[in-house]
Amino acid sequence: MKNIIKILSFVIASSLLISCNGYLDTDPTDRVSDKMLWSNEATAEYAVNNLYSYLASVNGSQFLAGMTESLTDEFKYGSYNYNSLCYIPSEFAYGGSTLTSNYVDVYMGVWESRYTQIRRTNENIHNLKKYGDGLGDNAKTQFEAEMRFIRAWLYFDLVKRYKEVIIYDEDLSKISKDKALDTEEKAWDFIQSDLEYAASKLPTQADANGRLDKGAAYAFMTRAMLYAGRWQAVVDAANKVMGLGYKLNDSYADSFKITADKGNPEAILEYEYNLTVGGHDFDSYYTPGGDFTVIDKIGGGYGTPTQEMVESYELAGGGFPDWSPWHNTDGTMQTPPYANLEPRFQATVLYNGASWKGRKIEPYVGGTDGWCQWNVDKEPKGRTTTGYYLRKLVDENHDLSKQSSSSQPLILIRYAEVLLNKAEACYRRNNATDANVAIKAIRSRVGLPYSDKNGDALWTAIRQERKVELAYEGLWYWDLRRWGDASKAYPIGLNAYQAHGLKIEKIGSDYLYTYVSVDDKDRNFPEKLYRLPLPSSELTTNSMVNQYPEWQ
Amino acid sequence: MSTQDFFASIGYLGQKGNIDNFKYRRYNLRANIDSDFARNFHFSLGLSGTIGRRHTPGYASGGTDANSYLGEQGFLSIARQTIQMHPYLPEKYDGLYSAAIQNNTGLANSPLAAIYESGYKQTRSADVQANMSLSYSFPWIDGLSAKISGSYEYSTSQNKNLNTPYSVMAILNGNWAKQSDPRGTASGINLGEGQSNYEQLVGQASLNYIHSFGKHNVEAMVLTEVRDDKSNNLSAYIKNLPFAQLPELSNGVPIDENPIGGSSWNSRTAGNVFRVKYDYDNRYLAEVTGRYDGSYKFNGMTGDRWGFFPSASVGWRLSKEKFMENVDFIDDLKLRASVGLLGNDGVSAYMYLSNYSQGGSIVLNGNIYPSYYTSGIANNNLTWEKTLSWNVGYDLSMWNGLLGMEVDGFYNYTYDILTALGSDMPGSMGGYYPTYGNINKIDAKGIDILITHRNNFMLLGKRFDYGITASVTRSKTRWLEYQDAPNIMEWQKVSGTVYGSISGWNADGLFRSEEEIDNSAWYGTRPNVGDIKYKDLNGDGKITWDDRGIFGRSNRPQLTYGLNLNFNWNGFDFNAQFTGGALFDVSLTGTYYNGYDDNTIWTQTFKEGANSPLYLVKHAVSIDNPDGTYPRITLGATGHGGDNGLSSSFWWRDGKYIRLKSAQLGYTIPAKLTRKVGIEGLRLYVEGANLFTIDGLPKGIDPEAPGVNNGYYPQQRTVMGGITLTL
Repeated sequence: MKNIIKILSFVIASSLLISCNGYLDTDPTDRVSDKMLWSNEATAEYAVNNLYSYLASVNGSQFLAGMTESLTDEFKYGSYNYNSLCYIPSEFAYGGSTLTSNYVDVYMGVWESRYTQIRRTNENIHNLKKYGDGLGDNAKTQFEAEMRFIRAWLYFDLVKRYKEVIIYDEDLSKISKDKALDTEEKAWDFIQSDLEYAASKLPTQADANGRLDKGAAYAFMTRAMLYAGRWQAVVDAANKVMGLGYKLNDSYADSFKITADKGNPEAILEYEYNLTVGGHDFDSYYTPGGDFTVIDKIGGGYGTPTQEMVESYELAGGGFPDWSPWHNTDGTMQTPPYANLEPRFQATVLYNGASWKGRKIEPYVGGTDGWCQWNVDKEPKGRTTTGYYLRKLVDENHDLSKQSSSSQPLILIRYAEVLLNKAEACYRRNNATDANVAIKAIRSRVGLPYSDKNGDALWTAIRQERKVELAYEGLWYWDLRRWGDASKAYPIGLNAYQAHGLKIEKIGSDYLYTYVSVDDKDRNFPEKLYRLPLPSSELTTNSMVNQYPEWQ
Repeated sequence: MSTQDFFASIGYLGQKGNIDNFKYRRYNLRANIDSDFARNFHFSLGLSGTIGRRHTPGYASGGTDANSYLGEQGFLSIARQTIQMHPYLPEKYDGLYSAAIQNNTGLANSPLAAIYESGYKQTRSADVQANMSLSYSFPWIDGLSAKISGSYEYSTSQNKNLNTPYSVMAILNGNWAKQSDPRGTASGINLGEGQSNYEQLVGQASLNYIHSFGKHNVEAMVLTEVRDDKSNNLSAYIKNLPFAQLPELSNGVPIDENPIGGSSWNSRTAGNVFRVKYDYDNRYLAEVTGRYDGSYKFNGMTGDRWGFFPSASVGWRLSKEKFMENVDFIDDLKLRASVGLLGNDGVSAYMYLSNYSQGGSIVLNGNIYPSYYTSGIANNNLTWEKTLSWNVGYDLSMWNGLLGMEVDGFYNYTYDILTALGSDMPGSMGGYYPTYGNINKIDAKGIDILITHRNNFMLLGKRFDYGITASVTRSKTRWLEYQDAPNIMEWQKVSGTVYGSISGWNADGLFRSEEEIDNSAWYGTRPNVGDIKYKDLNGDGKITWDDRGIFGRSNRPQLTYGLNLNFNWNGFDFNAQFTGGALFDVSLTGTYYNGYDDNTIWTQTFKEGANSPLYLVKHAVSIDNPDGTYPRITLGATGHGGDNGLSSSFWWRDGKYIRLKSAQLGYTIPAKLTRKVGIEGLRLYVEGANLFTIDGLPKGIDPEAPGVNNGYYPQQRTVMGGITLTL
């Protein structure tokens, strides 16, 4: 028995072993503590940098299945396969019963991703205020201003789609599971106050390193307040932008291609790429199919401009050409007036015989670029279904045999848009004079004549300039929606029409142009689509939120 | 007086896959020394090393393979390309391998080109391990000994992945046309090379005591262990190599995006264990153990880092009791019971800290700047996941081994499961809740029965020994708590369901007439005669996500069984093992990780232009076959999964199966013959694995596979023969 006690005490004593807690404290090699990051100006900037990527991601997630222009009369995706950048944009444009709340949420809903980005922005602002005492006052204010601009950028995208959203600021303790929606008014107030703060605190000219500046804040304010319907705010902000020294680039083609540091006075906010850290795929999708054919590959031409878009351009000296000879479904041998159209057409659309990368575009049956009959020939593989290709935003200097990723910058806001925003706001406030000044500046840049207008004629002119000047910049679809015009019949709206193209066939040394439809039924935009439905994941978890009535 | 024991062995394994160009070779060496070099001391040292060489083509064999920037797309594995290929095409055309074009992506699938022309992935690995231990028996206390030991392992692996773009010929619009490598040819011949090493250091110290006092037998042990793991890896990628025969990083140019990568890791754990065993006359048995473990993954300041995990068990050997003395037919009867708590720290590390990690870089005015973002929302109180296990059972052996039984009933309750939070949180919170928490709970209960029978008889003058062992396990694992979103339908909640249950819609046969379609609810756009009809559970006239629920059984068998047969006679020895499972469903459709259902080749005819099983086409509803049992044939999906590709009871099949897992027959040549030539023992054997399976699934689906997908490298049936020679 004595032995047993001896043994047991030995056992207990031995089990009081070192608890070696300190041994298990290891330092991660791939992350840093938030306190350390925010206490130093150079490293705090890294956290703000991460939010800059949201500027492009908002643009890139306009519509998961392609460019929003494909939901209007401007653009057509050619493949009939059931995929994004193929048939799904057409299916969406046909509307009808396909537009269930789940379907619309998948392709246009950004609720979850936007809120995650908003949370990260708020979290950074919160951390800046909590840990940033070690930063200089200048740096602290500048970082906060940059982050509030980005928060406004994110909320603008949410409000433009959902109208009534939940507003969260940098007080993270307010984030909770069951939260009701705020009104649209409050949301616009929130965006406006963030932009006003940003505009007042950001430096006038970002000292040549590309960070957000005063011009960007005021310019974005013109766009946001235009959507909000706050006309006076638009005019005030636009005037501030005009006082900062921006001007229209003499060449329309350069206005969206070249960055500010390379000498473009029109660029206000842009997003740059570098192949080492990640390019984008715009060229491999939209460059003419012939660019791939000449290097023995297949690609490009996923989407092409429509005949309707081409017919939206005026002649170089003003006035519209008469396109009726080319609306002939039996075909005509007359050459369309491409060469006589205004410079913005030349910079936006590639047509039969246009010069491109040292060759001529051949969008006819059997040509280098080729023509494909929509719906019958399901896989265009680079051929156009409309007889045209997109020129604007595609990089003519991209050598596809060297790499497939593109690196041309994305122009987010340029001076021309600010002028057009001002024109529209002035029109709404019955100030035809200032509106005319702005329109005239836009048209003179490309050598088009203009005589002052008012009333409905002025509105038509504003619509025309917006469509043509800002073509393919992701704005036209949202313009039609906010004007309440989208559910009206074409040509005002997006209902009851079909898009068309020209089938081009080479006969000897001439061409036969036949008018063809690139839709198999009429397009439809239902009223309920003016607002996107709330995602079901929010409805099942947030008890204070109900689906919008039109989507129930 | 010291004694030394020395052991050494070397081995070689060479194996090829059943697809050409998949090869693996391994060499290993082991040497052990045991020495009683001084009184009361014992020392042992072990060294082992392994060298491995693996070679595969440029594509994975099957399944999905999340790989490097230049690596393959997982859905183009060789198994999948084979399914996609059209068997009536010639092997080659115009000197190039033929291919079939996948009609949704336009990529050319050619398994032969993928095997022979795509390049290769080679891995060379080396592994060295040394372990040492020193033990000392205390001379003045009988049975007490102390031991310290340590082991060090270092392993390194280097791989070279060379991708050589190739061309194939495929029929496009009725004519042969050249197609290119589905991986793309923009980077030319490209190479990725990587190196990784791993080090592990383990140290252990223990004190042991074992002694008998008359009929009392006592054993006690205390032990402490620390473990440190480190790893480091780096990789580099280049493109546009001029010659595939010279695959070196210096010969190409770095790829555009992220040409160089590297990372390192360090982890540590520590644990203390004690154990006390006691038995009286081998009749009454008891054991108590306890573990106190710490993991670097949890917070050291709040005490969540450490967990105490005790367990205890008792046993009673009834057969040794006096009152059982006269019961001859029972050789051994033992009752036992145990309870124990175990911990698990399976979660990402550092989730208790607020940290920022590196994100993508941004470009401002042509210059590149780094960016950082929050790695995850911290949960200060993250701690060990725990499992409480109860077990009760008995062992019985009767009639000298003619009948043996082992029966166990068990109940395991796992709580504080380390879960990724979010399924019950709205998107508007933007992810602002701890990334991980100790939330979910699961329990598992069941019964395990093993019956053995052993006997022998005389056959042709020689003794024939045989044995049969049958085992059955019936278990049920249920979610007791799961973060279900609060406002979903009852039948969609995971809490309370069996773990791994399949979710989907309830199908109600096929639509047979237009009137039937007019009077029923459907999903999406109006279906046609021959499409699957679903049940409208909430009566709202539409088939929506609300009608979907967890209606299938689990995809893991709830009943598993096995049978082992063996015999021994006249130099022959035989052993066969059957295994099987039942009470589970296999879904013929697939569901992606993001919740989207999709058709597979088992449910949609000629999916993406691939081959189809005969039953889908032969029994499909059509004008000639209005009573068909499978949906009408559709060439292109009307939706991503098509209305017929949704997960539903139409496509769930009973997975029960039984498989002859292994069988071995051997013959040992009589010793008196072999000794004449100086051989102590010579045995010849033939062995097979996965010899046949009986199941109710379509031919080609393996019931033991985790799920159906578009191309799994199948389990192999192997037959081997061998010789064992003892000199």
